[in-house]
Amino acid sequence: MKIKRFEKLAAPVLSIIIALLIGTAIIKICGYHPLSAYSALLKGAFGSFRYTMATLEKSVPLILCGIAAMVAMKSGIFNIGAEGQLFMGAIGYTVAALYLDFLPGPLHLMVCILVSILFGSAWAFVPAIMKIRIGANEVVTSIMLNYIAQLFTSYLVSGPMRADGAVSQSDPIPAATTIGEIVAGSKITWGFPLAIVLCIVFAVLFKRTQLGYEITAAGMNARAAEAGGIQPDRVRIIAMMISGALAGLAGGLLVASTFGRLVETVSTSFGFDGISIAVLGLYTSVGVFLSSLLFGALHTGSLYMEMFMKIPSELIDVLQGVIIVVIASPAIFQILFKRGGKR
Amino acid sequence: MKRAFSVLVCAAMIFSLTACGEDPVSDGKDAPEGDAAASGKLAVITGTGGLGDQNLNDYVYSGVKMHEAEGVTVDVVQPSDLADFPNLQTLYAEEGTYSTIVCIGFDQKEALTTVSKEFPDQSFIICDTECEGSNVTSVVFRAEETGFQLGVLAGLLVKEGALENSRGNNTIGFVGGSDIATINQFAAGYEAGARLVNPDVTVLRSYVGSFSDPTTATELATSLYEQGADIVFACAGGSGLGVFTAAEKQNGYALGIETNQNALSPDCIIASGTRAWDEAIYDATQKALDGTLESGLLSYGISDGMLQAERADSNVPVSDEIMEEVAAYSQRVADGSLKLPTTLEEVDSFLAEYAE
Repeated sequence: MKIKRFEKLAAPVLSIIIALLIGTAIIKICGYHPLSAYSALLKGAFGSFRYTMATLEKSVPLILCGIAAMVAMKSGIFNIGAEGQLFMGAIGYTVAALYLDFLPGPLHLMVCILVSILFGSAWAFVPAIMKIRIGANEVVTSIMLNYIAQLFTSYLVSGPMRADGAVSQSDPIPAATTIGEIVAGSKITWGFPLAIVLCIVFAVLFKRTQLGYEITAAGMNARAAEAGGIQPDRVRIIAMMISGALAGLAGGLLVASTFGRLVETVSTSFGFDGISIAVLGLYTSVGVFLSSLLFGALHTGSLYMEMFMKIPSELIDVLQGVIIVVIASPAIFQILFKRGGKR
Repeated sequence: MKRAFSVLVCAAMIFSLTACGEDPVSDGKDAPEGDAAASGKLAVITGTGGLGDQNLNDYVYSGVKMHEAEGVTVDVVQPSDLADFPNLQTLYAEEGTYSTIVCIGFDQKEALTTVSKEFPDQSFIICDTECEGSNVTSVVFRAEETGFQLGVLAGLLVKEGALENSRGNNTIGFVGGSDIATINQFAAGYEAGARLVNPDVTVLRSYVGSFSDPTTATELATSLYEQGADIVFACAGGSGLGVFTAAEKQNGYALGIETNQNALSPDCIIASGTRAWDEAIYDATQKALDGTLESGLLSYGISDGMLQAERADSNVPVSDEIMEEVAAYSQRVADGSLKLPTTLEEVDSFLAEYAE
């Protein structure tokens, strides 16, 4: 048992190391010094209070999308639509913030968060029900729904919700609905503790509750689960909606704490990164949290590298890609652990 | 298990090898700070389009980069995400070693409004938009002057029937990116120029509502050509490309803007109203390096020699007389004897004052 656990952990750790090695080669080939590149990366991610805070703040939507992907995948359904659900959540949050402004402050904030969750969840319900009722492939439908959500956002910010000015964006949301810094000047918002709480909630959900058990069972072996009195279809719809809710919340938080309004590019790829993060995090809450920190650090660190060391940040995108390719290739580990696996 | 461990160890060894095998002689690419402080440092934060856009980002960056020959260090970052702007501005400002930080594009205005207050001693330059702040210099071009140059050209061309495919309606058109003040500044100059040289000309206008929607721009331009316009001024950023498509299909003519767009459709585009961002930014950053850069609006125009009705690469024949006349009118703007309108409302009073 002990060995097995070590092996499990070895997969992500090894993939990161392999990626670093390949990255070293690429950086070298491109004519930069790998050591100074990596030290700049590290410095940019955690080198000062502000850099660290930027890294943590960047990881918030990643954590939420990571858990979103994790919940869906555990139930045996693949939610590649988190990006679209995130956009819908952002739309929901902004609409509630701008048009329900007669509500008193704290209640208004709660309603906005709730609406963003509902929007994301509803958007995830569509591919889930289509899959279960008519067998439509959820990957295809949710990718299409991603486009619809993104283009709908573009339409809203350049059409009905557009604010005056040259930029396509909505009016700023009222101050009562923004989510600010924990301590003034800390540059980190309440989104971060919320993300930690959600990590804990979902860790408990999967360890201790019936729903968590049912989701895991449905994902591992639907038939066996059914024989055991679990309705896998029902469980998957619920899992998908939870997943959508989390992605929607991520979108809501981006509006509330990062942008302060609806913008055309709420997310550049948080929804997709979430999938990688869930895989790298071995479908555990703790793993998702750590992987999100890694991705957040790679992002802020790579910008620092570019800003002060003149090393293109695209190199880090390559690194990130290699990590995912390696971890998504279980064959590599099967070869590595051949003997251990038989034991 | 052993196997995995040995792989890990090997990996670590290879890694340390590459790490130790550093070439101690710096190849310049990764030289840290160095003696840069002595000769100055400049930072550039591009818009989300990044370098390689063959437009504003590239254009501005090339201007800043000209300082490198003088030993100035130029650092640049190309964010892909709007959300990174405040953070990047802060990071550069926190260093405290940059003579100025050049922020490209109106996308950065909101972030800069906040960040510039946190660093009152750091100078910032923002391009192509106006931004408040005691330490912010907004570098812009006088849009009405570009509009005017092209308006005079278009007005003369349709008046004299000089164009091969002219419909003979004495009509020109304008497709704007959006119905906003900055775009209408171009429109005002365009209309003023055209009507000054050609009092009976009809100037049609329509707006795309987006700077990245060439399809709609094609539809709008097509309708302008169908209404009898000979020349349409594509004043719509990325949407402007759609105007050129329409011009080709309708056998019409078009005018480009910002960079020399003539080669995109050499048989249709008569001229482009180029704006020398590289020179303007070089000048502004030079002031920053000298410590003479002042906050507020820094606007450049014809009098600085930075605005041209560029004809190179166009196959549409235009007589030298017409180009000389355009140059003569531009000269009157440069020496201040023509005060151009900056809003559409002022066009009529401008004409009342100057029309011959």
